[in-house]
Amino acid sequence: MGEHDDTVNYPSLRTRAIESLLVEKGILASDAVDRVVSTYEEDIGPLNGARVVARAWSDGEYKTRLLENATGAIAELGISGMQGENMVALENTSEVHNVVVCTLCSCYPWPVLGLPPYWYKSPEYRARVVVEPRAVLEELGLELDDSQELRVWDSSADIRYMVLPERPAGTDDLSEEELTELVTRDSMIGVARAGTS
Amino acid sequence: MTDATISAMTGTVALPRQNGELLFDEPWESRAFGIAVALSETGTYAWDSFRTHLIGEIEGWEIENGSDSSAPGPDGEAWNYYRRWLASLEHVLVEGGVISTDELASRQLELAAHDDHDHGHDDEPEHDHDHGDSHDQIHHKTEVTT
Repeated sequence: MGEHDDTVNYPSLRTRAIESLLVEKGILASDAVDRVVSTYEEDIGPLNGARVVARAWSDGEYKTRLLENATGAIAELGISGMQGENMVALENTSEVHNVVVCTLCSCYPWPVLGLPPYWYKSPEYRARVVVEPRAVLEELGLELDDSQELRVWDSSADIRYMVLPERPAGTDDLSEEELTELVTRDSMIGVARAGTS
Repeated sequence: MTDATISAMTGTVALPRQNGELLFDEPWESRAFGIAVALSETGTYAWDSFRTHLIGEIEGWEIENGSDSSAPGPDGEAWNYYRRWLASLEHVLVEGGVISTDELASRQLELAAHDDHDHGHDDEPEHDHDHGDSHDQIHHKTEVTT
């Protein structure tokens, strides 16, 4: 390793040093990190959010509950893992389009969407989606009607947002399970429509 | 957030379009992620303390480098979210008296020496799952060649 640029190895070594000290001191169980990582890699992901959206599309009363108290409505589906923060669901319609950001860091509704994508955490997205949201959405492939009001929601320590995208036209005959497959992660952040990837 | 360097970047920085990319680019990123989450779960610190450090770290990088993540900063380091995450983890642990900067530095040297002596040119991160109890063997190898 010594012959390589230090900046390449530094974070890897530093991380191992931290973990090694914490395990040695008995602060961190030796399997704790594996457990957390595998949970996020395998169990918690946007499929949870897609189930919430598909249920809301299929069941008007559930949708009402979701928009009134998202934390409770999400828990109804057995999805948990919230670290004390409240969930808020934002409904996209033909008049209003919502998009979510965390300008200060990377707050994101982990339990329903998993970990955020690279671009969500990038300085560019966090800065620009506030200043010129239409341009950013266009670069991401989403063109809005000029008449559509665009609302940008800044996540915080206490509130995590998810977007309830519009149900695509021509999907009346689909089952809830089939609808789930139309719901992409990006549509629940508000940078894409459902039914498109 | 709204300073001139940011608005000047309009259109120059393409945002990734992929849906479903890997969560972590390198193994250490997933370790740093897992350590930070595990410690908040067991109450070593409140998640909000970690988040406050993370906000400060990200803001500090952006003050130095603007919001163009493709441009290497003054120290030649391009944007890497988990580098900021790692720095936050380190600071919250040092601030809380959980570990000291000195012991962290010496453990890092031990690990580097261990890699050099025992594994030659093999720099695969194969220790990810067992290094927690591997340090017992390396106390006699703290010399690092430069």
